[in-house]
Amino acid sequence: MHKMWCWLIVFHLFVLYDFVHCITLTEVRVPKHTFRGHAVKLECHYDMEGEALYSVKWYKDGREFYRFVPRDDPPGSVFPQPGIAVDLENSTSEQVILDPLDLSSSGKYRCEVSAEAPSFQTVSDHGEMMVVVLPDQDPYITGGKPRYQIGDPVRVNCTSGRSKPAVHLTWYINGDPAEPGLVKRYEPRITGADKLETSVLGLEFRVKPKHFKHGDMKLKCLATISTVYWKSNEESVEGEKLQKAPTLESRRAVSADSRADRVQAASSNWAKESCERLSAMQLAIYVLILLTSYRYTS
Amino acid sequence: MELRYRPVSVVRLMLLLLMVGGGKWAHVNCEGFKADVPTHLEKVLVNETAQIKCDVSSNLTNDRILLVVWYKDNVPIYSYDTRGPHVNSPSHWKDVAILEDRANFKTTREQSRAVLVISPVQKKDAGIFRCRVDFLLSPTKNSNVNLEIVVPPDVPKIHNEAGVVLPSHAGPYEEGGDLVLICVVTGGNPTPKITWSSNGKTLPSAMIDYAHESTLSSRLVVRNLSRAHQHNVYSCQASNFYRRNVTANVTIELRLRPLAVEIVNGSSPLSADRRYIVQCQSVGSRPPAKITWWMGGVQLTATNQTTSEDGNSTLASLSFTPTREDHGKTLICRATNELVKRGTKETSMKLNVFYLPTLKLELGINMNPEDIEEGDDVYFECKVNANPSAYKVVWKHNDQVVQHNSKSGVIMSSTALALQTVTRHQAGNYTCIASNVEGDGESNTVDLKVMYKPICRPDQKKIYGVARNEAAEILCQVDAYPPPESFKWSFNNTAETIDMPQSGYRVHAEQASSLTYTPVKELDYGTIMCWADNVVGQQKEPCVFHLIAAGKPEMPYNCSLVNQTSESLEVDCAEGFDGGQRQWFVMEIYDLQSHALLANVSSKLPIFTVNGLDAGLLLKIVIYATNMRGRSEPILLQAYTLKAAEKQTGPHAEFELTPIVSIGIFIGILTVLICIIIAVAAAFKLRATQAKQHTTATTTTAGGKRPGNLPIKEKISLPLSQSEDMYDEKNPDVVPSNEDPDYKLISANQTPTALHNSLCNSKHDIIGRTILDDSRKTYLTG
Repeated sequence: MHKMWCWLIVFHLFVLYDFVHCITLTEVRVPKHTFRGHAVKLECHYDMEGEALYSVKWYKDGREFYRFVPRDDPPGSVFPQPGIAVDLENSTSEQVILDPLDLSSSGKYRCEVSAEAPSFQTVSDHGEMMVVVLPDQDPYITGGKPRYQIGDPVRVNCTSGRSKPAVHLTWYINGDPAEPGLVKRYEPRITGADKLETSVLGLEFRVKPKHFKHGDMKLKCLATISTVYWKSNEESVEGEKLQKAPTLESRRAVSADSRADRVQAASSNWAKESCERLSAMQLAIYVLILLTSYRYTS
Repeated sequence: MELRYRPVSVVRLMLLLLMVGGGKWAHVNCEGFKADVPTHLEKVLVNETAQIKCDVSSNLTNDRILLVVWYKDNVPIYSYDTRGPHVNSPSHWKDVAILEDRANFKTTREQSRAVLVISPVQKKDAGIFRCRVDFLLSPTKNSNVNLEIVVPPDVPKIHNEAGVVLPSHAGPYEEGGDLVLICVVTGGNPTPKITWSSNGKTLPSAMIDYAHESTLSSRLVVRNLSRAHQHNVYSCQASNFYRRNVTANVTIELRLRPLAVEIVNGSSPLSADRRYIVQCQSVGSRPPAKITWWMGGVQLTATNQTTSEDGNSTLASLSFTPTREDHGKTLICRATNELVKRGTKETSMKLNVFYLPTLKLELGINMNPEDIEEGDDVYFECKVNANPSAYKVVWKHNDQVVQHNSKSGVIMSSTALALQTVTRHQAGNYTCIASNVEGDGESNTVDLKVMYKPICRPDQKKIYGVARNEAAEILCQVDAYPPPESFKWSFNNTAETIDMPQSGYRVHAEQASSLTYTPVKELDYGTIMCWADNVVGQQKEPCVFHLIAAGKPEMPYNCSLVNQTSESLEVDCAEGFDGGQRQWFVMEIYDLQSHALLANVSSKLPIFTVNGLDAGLLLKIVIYATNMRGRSEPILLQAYTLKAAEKQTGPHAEFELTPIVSIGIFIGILTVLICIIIAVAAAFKLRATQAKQHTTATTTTAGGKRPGNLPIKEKISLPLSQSEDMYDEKNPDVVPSNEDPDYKLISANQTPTALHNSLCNSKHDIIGRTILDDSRKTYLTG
């Protein structure tokens, strides 16, 4: 009986032996947004847990473009594809430099790390990267009248500058988002060889007293591209009931300058492991349970 | 190394402990390449062979595979390594815990195609298989295959509503009712689809409800079952993969009313008293109908019935002997299926029984059969009962067919016979006979009695010859109906008529009376008359008897030689008056030359046969009658016995139709035609003369009317003519020709044919053999 239990323990340890050697993907960094003409560094960090490294492969949209195999000489090699310009000199087993970026560089970037023979344990993760072209022009409002009376129709358009991807426009009336029924959407206009897009958003409504709560009515157009671009334009219209001379104020809103957010690997909160691994704590608990059960049975 | 406490892992650890010895539990929490590379779905039946394709092709010429790694759900399970030392013998590695010994990676020599072969595949093999191919030159290729392991469902079971599994033949179901079938399918991965079908058509009425996990059921309802549903096969098919279907069938059996009943062979008429087998067929009954036979409300004896192999038709035979009474009755064949409502169907047949006519013959209603006198009108009625109707009715009187004759008052129809002014000759047995296809039927016999006054019976002895003081017993016979009651006798001579006293005679029998009379003197001879009388009246004409003094008989007459051979003779004569007493006859034969008596024959009748004569003799024949009073005059004949050679007619020469003969025949025919014309002319002439002579001829000779008494026919040689047969046929009276002129005698009694012969064959002699004594007396009856 005792012997049997001992063998059982040995067997379990033997089975668990495999799990000790599990490679782990620590972090894959792919910026969410990058800018055309800039360079980007894609990072892939892993822990071989004592295993030998066979390869690190980078895929864009499922197609391999960079390979790092330590046994090769040189270890790094590039497989050309559109939108990929690898700076081979500065690329290593843990990072790839793309320089320069093109609009076609947008895509899904995957890093795949494999251990050596025979099982070629493999882990991989990916990140989405979008190459952005910021608008060459701020949004501007057209069609506004200097003065509106109650009941007058308001018909205005907001037009963005050319960009990629298309700018997202939003209307605000007196600081509140316009009701969807008042907003008139248009398909973005695509122009130029690089097929940049121009967004237009209309706003149509009849003037009502509530629009002049604070004496004047403010129409604001906000232009955004994800988190990397944020600009607005606002026009202020006076109501007729005020005896003041009508004025048309147009002011550049609090200019939020465009900024590129640092995009982290979206799934960095996940532990990237090639297999379920046993921590020292877990192993301790496991042995403890085994011993306890042994004591109870004997 | 992270030393984070992860409760999830602890739970897994516990599970591992419980399972003891479970395999690796490698797990990667990421979608892997599934999203980057299109995934092909591959379905394989469990326990069969899976061939998972891998794209190993490269566009570059000097390229080659370095390494192929297979991942299942992102865990490496198989590697194929050709790097470095393995360049010539690739290294295969597989995760034995997962694939055991069931997997092998195969590539073609040109490395264009490659597959991972898993055989047999198990349910646990399902998953996403990725093969990663590392090339020497080309970028890495990844192929994804979603391997689905199909576990076919168990064979479906068809239940009834009560949940009882049905056998392959279910039922019986009621006609007009509903059929509810539930198909239960257990197992199967992925979840199978259940379809109901019948006769190749998918039944839309099927609906699926889930009973519990891994068991499905589908309910089929067929409403208003009809005959068309009989033996329908309902199939429940469970399918989760095109390559493997499991099916359960149920054939339904219905209870059905008989559809039709038909008497198969009963249309033609039947003959009475013949045995028939009538057959009746019932079609469409399930289970087979029971067939019964009925006639006139009575069930006929049970018969054996047979059912066809498919059970659809039942044939019953009735062995049956119709009688004439059955004609017009209705024979019913009734098929009954007791298991269904209104399950009886019948057919009937009106019997047409043919039978022999039966007849009833009666005298007319108003007639008294005991009181019919001559001169009355009589009619009979014949009642015929026949099927089919008699096509002919024949009347018979004493077995002689009665002919319609309105002149003599015999009037007939098919049902009646009328006899106007009936005579006593029409009395007798009457029957009527009717005929139809079945035969002739004869009626009862009706004896028609016709009353009439007595009449004298014609064929009785009328002349009595007695000597004086000799008693004569005179018998008077009469015909009468009813029989005579009394007789009366009287004597008549030239002088007087005396009635005989009653004591002198006696009534002999019913129809006769006899008188004993003894003449004493000359006057006692004369005529005696006798009368009878009955209910109808007294005899009109008395029977007349002549009493004469007895004397010698008269000689026989009309003698002829009827047969003549070389050693025998036969001679027939007619007898003459017997002289009032019994006579007998004597024939004496003498040799004509020596006058020696050769034979002496006596006979009661004048018919003689003599044998043992010598051939070729010339004979003299003497014939006479004799009685107590003496002998008659003799009659003399000449005859001869045939020469031995002449006994038979010589064989005819073989007749050959040579041209000469043909010409001869032609000439002969021509001659004959001429002769006939002459003969006819002569005959007409002769007849004219005979008609004049007729009255005298009858008084002189009776033989004149009897030309046929020369029957001996012998060969006549006609040296130059071949037409002897024609003469022979036409003239049976030709007697043998003889060259000897001594025998040339010409018949005294030439007939027209004899005359004809003599005219035609003037060269040839015709010999009459009989010498008639013209002087012989003829006796005339009073």
